[in-house]
Amino acid sequence: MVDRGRVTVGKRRRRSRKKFIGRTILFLLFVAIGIGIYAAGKSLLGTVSASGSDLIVTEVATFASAAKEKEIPKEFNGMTRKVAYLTFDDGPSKYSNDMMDLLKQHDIKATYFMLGDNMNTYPDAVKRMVEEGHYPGLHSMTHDFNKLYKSGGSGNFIKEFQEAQGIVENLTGFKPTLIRAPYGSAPQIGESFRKDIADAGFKMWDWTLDSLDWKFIGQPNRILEQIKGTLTADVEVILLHDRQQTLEALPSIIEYIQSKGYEFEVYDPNAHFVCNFHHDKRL
Amino acid sequence: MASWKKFTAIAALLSVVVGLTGCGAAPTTKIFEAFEKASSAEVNVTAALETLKTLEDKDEKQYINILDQGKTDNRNVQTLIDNTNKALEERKQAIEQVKVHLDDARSQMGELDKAIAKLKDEELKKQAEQAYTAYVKRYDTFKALHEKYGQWLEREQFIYDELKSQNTKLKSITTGISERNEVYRQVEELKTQFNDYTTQFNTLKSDFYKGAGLQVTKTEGNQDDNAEQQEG
Ligand SMILES: [Zn+2]
Repeated sequence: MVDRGRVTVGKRRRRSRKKFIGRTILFLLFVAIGIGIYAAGKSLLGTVSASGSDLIVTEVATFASAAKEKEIPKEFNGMTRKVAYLTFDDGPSKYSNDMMDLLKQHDIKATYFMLGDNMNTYPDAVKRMVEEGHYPGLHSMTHDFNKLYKSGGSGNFIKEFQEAQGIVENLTGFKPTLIRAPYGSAPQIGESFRKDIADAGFKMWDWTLDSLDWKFIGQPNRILEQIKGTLTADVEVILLHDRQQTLEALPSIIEYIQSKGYEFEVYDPNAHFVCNFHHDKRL
Repeated sequence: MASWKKFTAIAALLSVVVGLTGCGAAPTTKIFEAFEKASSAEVNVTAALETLKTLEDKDEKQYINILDQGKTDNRNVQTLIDNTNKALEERKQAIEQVKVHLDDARSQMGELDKAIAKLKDEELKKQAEQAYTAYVKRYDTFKALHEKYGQWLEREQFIYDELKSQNTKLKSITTGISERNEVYRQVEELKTQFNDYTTQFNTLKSDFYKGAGLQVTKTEGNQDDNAEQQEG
């Protein structure tokens, strides 16, 4: 532009000079308009590039997880720990308070598997249980074999446990996840049924030792004999019930188990281990 | 006379140009730049997170080895435990690295409430608001996660100290593991929450860009370039 200006110098000097100024101004105008359009586009729409190539944006990252729950060793440094879990089914009942008094005397925390109706009848027992560090596990609403297992699916079973779970949560604010299937999980609970239980967020315990206490009405000694004859494993989950004969046998049961070198533990969701007849790791 | 007219015309045009460029960027640009400055400030987070994952995985395997080889005598596993403790220290450094970058990213983002309020298009405003909220919640979740992660490492340390000790008791090992598992679960929950907000932010800001008519290309966070420098 400037060169072209120079060529015209000399001929009709004044007019060409005017022309030159005019052209320069026009040129500047176009440049200004160009910048203006670009800037307007940029400020209105972001950073739209003249060549149409895309803006690069960066996605932010997520956390991965490689850690798992740590398993509790049964043996270490030459030591073996013998642990007994006292578990009481079918409660709460009118014996629950006396039983909890007894457990308190021995500084033992137990694991309960309770029925919905009984929780509604003895709500204070459920509250006390949680306050004193026992585990308020679930044992369905009805305990009805046909209803729970004979409907052709897991629907009734899950619904009953969810209802029972809601009762405990309403009473105590604690939402238990450990359940025990009435009559045990075998043979009535199959593969896909178990998957449904796990998918519903539950863990399921059967037992390793059956005290048969339910049938020894008025014979607390027979319960003790049964336990004496079957207490062998380093970890025993002992099936008992919230009943009169069990309450009567309890002091001697505790004494015997302790004499064999066991410590008592309560179910701890943070130290869960598999204890079902199917050895199903999902539960 | 004519030059006066021209001068007036130039002055008018210049004022338009200045009006469009000089008086601060439009809210859309400001928000885009804040989002991308913060996002690109996180580029090194990916590596730190990868380190964390590797170390968590290593710990998992070492722990099983320690229990297995220390069954009869824990003098067999002293070196193994020392190595695991070193890995815990590295994990601490890695999570601190993540924190440094996320803190920086958060300050790059700045406070966007005013810029968002200036958006005229209601739909666009909603998109920007949601993306920004997801980002702020993600950062707040990280702060909680960072604190819990520290507690988690302390619990891990306690377990390894117990496993190493000559007077170790199974009872206290058990208690230590139970407490560790509880904190670990809380960390996992926070990780899930953090990841949910991450997905939300990535998706929502992308929606916002689309709504604003911006043509964008995504990177996985391995580009060091600021979005602004990428203009053609
Ligand atoms: Zn029962």
